[in-house]
Amino acid sequence: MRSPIPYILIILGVGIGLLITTQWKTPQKRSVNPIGPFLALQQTDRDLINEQLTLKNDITMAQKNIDTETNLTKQDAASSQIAEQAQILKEKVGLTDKRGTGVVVTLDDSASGSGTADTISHAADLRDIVNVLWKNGAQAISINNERIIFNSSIDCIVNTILINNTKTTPPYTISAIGDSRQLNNALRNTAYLPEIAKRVKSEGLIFTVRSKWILSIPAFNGSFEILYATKETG
Amino acid sequence: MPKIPQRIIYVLLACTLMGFFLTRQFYLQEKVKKVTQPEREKELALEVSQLIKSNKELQQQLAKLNAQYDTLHQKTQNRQNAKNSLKASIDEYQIIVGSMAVKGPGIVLEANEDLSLTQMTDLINALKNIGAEAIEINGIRITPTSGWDDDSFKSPLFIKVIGDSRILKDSLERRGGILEQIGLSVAVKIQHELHLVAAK
Repeated sequence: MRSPIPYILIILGVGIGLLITTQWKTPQKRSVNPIGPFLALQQTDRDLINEQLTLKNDITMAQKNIDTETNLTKQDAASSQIAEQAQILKEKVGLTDKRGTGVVVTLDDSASGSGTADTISHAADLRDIVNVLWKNGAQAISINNERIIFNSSIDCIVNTILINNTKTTPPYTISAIGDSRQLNNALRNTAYLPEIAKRVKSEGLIFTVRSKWILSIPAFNGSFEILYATKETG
Repeated sequence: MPKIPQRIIYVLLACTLMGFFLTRQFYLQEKVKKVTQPEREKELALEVSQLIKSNKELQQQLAKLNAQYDTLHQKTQNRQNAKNSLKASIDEYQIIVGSMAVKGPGIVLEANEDLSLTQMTDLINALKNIGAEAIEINGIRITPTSGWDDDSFKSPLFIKVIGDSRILKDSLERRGGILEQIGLSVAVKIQHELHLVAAK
């Protein structure tokens, strides 16, 4: 009987040949088959997912920032209170025009006779008039349109009077807003302004008082600076 | 030990080789199949396409939010600046109108004699002229609308003035200065820190 080995070897040889061919051809397929683009697609997918995460984080952060800003905007109610408080104080300081009832006082040198100390109007007269007005409830005062504020001094400089660093000459028009009746009565009371009353009578110094229903007093238009005083804390 | 025929060894080797190739081919085919399944690729392509679209929308949303934030921030910044400025003004105004207690350097005047109304008026006017920022007489703060009469301030007078202490002292004490004009002979003391009450 003939041995079956040669037949077996032939079959095995053909089988191995086929397998080697397949094995050899398979790697070739990889270079032309979609594995490369597929992997690139997978990478793109991962990149896009990462980008999405970053974008979402950025959006969350932007939302938080907007919320913070919005909350600050909501505090505007507080801001408007501050603005209102500032406005009220500004009016008290004399930095806004003021309108209301009041009196207008005219002080001028005597029209007759020679110019003596008693016939002319002085800075001291204006200071006394201003003090009487404040004492009797005036809310705002101006002299020849110069608003009297916290540091306004009224001083005589040779032949002129200096108010808020502005020279002014007679006649002096003193406007005051307040209770016109009270202001009028106080100014006409000779006990309050005895010197002026005496010179009006004896020397013809001009001093008139008129009540006004509507009076306008301009805002202070100069500058000031607080350098030394600070608010007490606590 | 019986001798194995040579041809049996060849057959064994050939079978081993074939087994190896068969196994390897099987795994390779599986791997390729796994990554190149058309359904999976299609799904991935769809996912990528959706991600591109979604990310584009997210970018637009982010740009919109950033623009909104920038606008709000700018407004807030402006508001904050305005608010700070207002607060500083309020502090200054409160000092001026006397509604707050204040402190600062200045001078103190102590007198044991009464001043007439006109003397007091002239003294306060002079203090303002010299640069007084805040004045208190006998525990009463002088405000921009303060007025007084003969009975307002009685001796002993204790006057506190905040301002440039050196200028205040020199101006008050100089020959022909206000103290000499009103005939008040008092010592002017410089104080590094004075405390003035708020107006009532």
